[in-house]
Amino acid sequence: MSVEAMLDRLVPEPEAFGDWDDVLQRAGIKRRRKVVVSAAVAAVILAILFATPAFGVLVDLIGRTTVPFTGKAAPTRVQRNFFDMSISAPRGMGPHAIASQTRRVGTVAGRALYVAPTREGGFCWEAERSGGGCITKREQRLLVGASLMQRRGGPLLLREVSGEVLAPAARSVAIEYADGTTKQLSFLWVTKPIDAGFFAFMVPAAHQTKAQPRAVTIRDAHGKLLAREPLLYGRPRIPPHHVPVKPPRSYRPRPLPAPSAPLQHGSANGVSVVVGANGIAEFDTSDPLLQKASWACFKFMRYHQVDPFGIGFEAQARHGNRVRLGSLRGPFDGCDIQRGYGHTWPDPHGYHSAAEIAFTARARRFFADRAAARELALYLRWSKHHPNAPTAGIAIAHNGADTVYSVRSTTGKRFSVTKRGGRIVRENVRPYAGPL
Amino acid sequence: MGDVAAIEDLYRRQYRRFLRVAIAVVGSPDAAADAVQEAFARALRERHSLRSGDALPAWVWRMVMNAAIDQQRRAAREVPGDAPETVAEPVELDELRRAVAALPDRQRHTLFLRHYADLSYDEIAEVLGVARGTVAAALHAAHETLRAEAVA
Repeated sequence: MSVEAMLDRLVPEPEAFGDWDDVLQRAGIKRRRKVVVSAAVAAVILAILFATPAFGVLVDLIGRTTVPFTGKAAPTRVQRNFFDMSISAPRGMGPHAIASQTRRVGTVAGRALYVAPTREGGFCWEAERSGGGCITKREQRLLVGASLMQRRGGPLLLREVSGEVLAPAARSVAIEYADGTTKQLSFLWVTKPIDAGFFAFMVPAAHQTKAQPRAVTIRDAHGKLLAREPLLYGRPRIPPHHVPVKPPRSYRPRPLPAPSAPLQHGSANGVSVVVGANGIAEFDTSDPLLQKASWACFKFMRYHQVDPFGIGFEAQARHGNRVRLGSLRGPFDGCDIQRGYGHTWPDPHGYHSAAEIAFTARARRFFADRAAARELALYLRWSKHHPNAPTAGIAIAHNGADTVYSVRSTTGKRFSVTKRGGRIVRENVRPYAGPL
Repeated sequence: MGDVAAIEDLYRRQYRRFLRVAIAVVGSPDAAADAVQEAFARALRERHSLRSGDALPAWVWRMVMNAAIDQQRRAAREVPGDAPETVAEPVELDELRRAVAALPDRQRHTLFLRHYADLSYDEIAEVLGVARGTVAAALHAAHETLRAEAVA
């Protein structure tokens, strides 16, 4: 191999993207804001609109609020969500959101709206405790999502309607009800590089069962219809004419390539694994139980400095002994085989996974810490239903109104959960052991 | 004089090249990213000191190299902690890493700017503040050393 090729392998081209806002912040430069129309000028415009036939436009102007893409940086949790979308997606299918540029641009239906541009000119968005998504191609003018609910035996209820407006000329969004009435919605238009509008609407109870929403429309400043998206719910209509049914084509997944160099080798508990720089992991085990388990590998990376990002597959989704680890590329920190954790593992308490393979010291510490966190989490889950759950290994301290449950990992790291009045008020086990 | 837009444009177009060189110098991707951010922030703060005859890219490259070298020196001074150990590197790559690390600073930095940033000899000379001939000689010497290591 030539020196040049080896230099390329020594420092592969990074897949990172920059954060210009961070540079500006470090330099102490404030991003220039758009010119703000003064209240007096706005009042004059409103007066003219009221006094002229252009009054009809006023409703449109009120419906759309334009906000610059310069809001407050989003919380790390939201940035991580956008970041993870790309690495967990199959290769070539990730939205490539520039997570570090995620901004809180305003609120829709009372919920914080976060948006981030993507490397290919699209965007990702998320409304707090609600929906979200990514747009990679701006082919449609309007995209609508609906949140449905059905109680046992009851009708299908439309609880919430939300969506994205991709037509720059759009000035109003409206919901059409089955009784012919319409409801104008307000929406946020976020400037470039997002260049899209967002709306969310909680459907009133009166319209959930009768006169339900039928469609969402967008119109321009002159009232011209730009797009209409019907809201389809209930049983799909089957076309009356006969449609010949084509026999399903047999699907044979293409075999995955072998792991490529540089390779990482490891083994534990009767399992060996070879992971390649191309993100292909090849497991080898003769244990039938482990063959049916979930195989995964992980690495520590941005947004995942505490809990590494792992990706793997259940037995039925694998290609033989190989798995493609999403868009992750090597080097990895470790791999493991999980079948939940209970009483069937070599570990008597079941806090370790079936096979834990560490390539790095950091991964070894992670396995030890995770086992301790799992131990504490398992105790707390049990103790909800079993007052006499065994407390071996768990330290319990009372401090005023607080009860602190803690456990120490073999690495020295301490995990604790503080309860007050039966509710958890502080804890640090979730990244390792999931929700309590 | 450099203006904010020109520096931003350079950052957006060539971020990965800056980062790759910084990683080569510093060794750690996180520290390298920090060095690039800091270098560009410094470039913004000191943009008025750029003389009209100076080339903006070379001026910024100089800042990035200086920031990366500072980061590397800081890291070298720190007590080795519990950095993740990578055990799965092929032997030849490990040897190359050692050989690159053992090169004199000028040869190493010239090599990085040539190979990872794809700068011309003249651009490298401007960034490092040396003559074009010195760049050519440093590159030649670096390649000779690395080839000898690869063959050995």
